Amino acid sequence: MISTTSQHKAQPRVFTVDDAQREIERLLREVGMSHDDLVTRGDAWELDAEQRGVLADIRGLEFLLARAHAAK
Amino acid sequence: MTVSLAEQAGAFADRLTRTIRTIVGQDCPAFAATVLEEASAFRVAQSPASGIILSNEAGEPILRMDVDYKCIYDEHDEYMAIEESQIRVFVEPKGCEPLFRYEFIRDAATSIPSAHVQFHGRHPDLEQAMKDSGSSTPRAKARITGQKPVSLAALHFPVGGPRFRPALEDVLQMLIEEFGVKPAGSIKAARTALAESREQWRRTQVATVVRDAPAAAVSALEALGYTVTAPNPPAPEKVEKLRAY
Repeated sequence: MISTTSQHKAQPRVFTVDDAQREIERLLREVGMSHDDLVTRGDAWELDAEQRGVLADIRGLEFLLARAHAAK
Repeated sequence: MTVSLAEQAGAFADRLTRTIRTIVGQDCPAFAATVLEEASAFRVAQSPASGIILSNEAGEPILRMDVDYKCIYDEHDEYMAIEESQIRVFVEPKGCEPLFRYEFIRDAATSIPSAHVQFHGRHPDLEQAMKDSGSSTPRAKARITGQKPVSLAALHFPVGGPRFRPALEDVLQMLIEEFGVKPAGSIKAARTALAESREQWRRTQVATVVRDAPAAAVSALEALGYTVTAPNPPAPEKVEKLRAY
């Protein structure tokens, strides 16, 4: 039952544009691949779960950055 | 009072965390929201984003599901709207290609259904049918000429459009019912929890659909005996949402 589940309170991570760009660079260092290599291997379904997670994080940040640039 | 984007992002992440932990257990990583104020948008995914491991009755991991939502403010800059969502299911422990994936793209190309499911695998008869397909649309023609891939995974099966698409709860219940995923508690408790959460989601969607088609909502309410007073001017119909592929 949902009522028995302990209440979790998420604290959103609030980024600036610069923060988001630095985070993408950090994630790429962490996964040890270039951006193009990661995307190419992701599109070919060659990534393991952790690498897919990194790619998803990067794509999430890129989505936000694209929105921010479009809003300018 | 308008709720801030960060607050809405946090509340959405909390709702997903409650749903998933009810089914998978309290150890399941929480959903986290990432907000970029300049974007008027946020993303909600599990943290880490490598996915949720689902096990059988023996406690052996059998599937991995990753869930990702990209959200924006709606056209009134008041409520969040899902711009894109993705629920993918992989085999554990080493699945690299999904078994299937549910996706939603709010502004999808006209040739692709905004809410769709893609199955991965081989289906020789279907692939042959795709190769032999007609050429009445650029998409079908591109397959014949080899410009687009001919594979099961390249097909986008429509699942209800922007308003009536399946929710995370539907996918979770299907994994329990069809793949024998063992929920943290009893099967009955899991079905009840998912039904409650699904009801919450569908009530939200009902309200959204009423805003799409207020005249139909008024007719239905009047048929039930309600008296409805329309504002002047009446709320506009969002025909494009009702017609969306």
